[in-house]
Amino acid sequence: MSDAVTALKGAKSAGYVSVAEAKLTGMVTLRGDFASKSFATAVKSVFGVQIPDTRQLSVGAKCTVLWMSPDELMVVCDYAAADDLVAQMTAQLGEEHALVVNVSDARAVFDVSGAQLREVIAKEAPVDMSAFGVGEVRRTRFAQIAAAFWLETDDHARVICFRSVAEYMFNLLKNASKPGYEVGQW
Amino acid sequence: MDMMYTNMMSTLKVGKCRYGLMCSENGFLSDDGVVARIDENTFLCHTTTGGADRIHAHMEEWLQTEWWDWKVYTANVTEQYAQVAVVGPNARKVLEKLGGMDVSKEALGFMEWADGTLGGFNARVYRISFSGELSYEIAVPASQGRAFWDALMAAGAEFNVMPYGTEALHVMRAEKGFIMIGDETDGTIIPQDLGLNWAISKKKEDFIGKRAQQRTFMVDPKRWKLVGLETTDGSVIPDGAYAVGEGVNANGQRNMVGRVTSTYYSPTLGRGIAMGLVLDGPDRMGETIEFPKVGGGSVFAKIVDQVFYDKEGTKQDV
Repeated sequence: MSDAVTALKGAKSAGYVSVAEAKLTGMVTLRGDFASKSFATAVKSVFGVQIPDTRQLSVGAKCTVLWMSPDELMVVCDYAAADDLVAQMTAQLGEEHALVVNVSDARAVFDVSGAQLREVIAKEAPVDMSAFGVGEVRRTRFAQIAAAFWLETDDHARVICFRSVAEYMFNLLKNASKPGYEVGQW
Repeated sequence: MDMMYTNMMSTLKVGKCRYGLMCSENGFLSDDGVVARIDENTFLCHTTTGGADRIHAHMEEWLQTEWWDWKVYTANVTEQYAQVAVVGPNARKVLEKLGGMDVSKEALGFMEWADGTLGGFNARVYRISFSGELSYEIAVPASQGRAFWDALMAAGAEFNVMPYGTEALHVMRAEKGFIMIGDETDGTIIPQDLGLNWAISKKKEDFIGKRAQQRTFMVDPKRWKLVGLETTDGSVIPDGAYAVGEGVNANGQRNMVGRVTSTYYSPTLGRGIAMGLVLDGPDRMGETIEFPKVGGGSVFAKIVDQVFYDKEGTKQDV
């Protein structure tokens, strides 16, 4: 087994907001009926959290669960833990109709940090960043590509996109955070 | 799966692959690809290159608007995998050198797939072929794609391995008479135009496009049909050329009787080969038709079977 590598091997940029490609991150897609009791029980028992509300996330001890759509969640965890979570969830769900799949290699993850990160995101995504808080997750687009993001804290966001467009996303964030191009909105 | 594809997918056995066609509700061919049955309740659908988002959206649209009470979920896993085609008479030797799983004809026959390891990489290996040669498509986690590629290039060095691009693939598939979505199709073509009736189920009560394909215009015998074209002088028919027939239309223009959909120089055969849609084409085997060129002159081509090379498919099934 060779060492797995991220798309950009940890590319970094230090603008007025810093951008860094995160290390490999575990991700599991889970689709099912949120209204089903056994589905909710499985989420609680395997991920240790309640199903998040619409456009929200739930933080557990070993993973964070993101609301992706009315019947889809994404679990963010350690890269090495994803296969195990898939196996546990599959076993827990039993006959419940659901889809569980490890998608840890499908995306690139970026840490965007700094007091003005809201401004940098607002430059690229059609999202009202003045109303966007910690605990929310948003699926949207950054310029021309599909993306999602959430705030870990007020000055630390995580932005995810598909792996094949990682370089585009990195250059976008790097360019938007170039010193001298502050708008001063935040 | 039986609604999405024109052919029968529900009978596909776990561990097997089947080529399938997808049509719009208007009957037009929109995508093709190989489907693998992963387990009783899971199918993996390969789409045309670059078509995954569009086909995933097509599936979701039907599931969300028409079949909302069907118990089906989809996930687009395209980006999860790096998939490498290892192709050619020595393909198996390269994989056996990497080692880890049995890729012999007996263990992994044509149109089968298996999970295992190759050279220490977790791999899903499909015995499928778009080139017509002995061919494996091997999916590994995307974050190990480059390392796997490097391992293949190193193991293949003694067999003169080399990367091949889509142009080479296009030529090879045209020699085999395999269609390409976007070349043989342009949004106005139904599978029947391409002689793909064998991939349209007659047993199924319904599939997307079935009703549309029964409309009078769709069953009109005058629809142009796919044939192979072999130039009489060995040259290559210009891309996009139209074939002219007898007489003129109401505007005084030459009547047209067909057009080229794919045209290449075949290094294997040492001549120009093409596929095209031709009026009454399959009934006119051996006849010669005329393709006028921009700037004067014409290329003449004989109507032939579209499979130019290895008609029996023996090279891919070894």
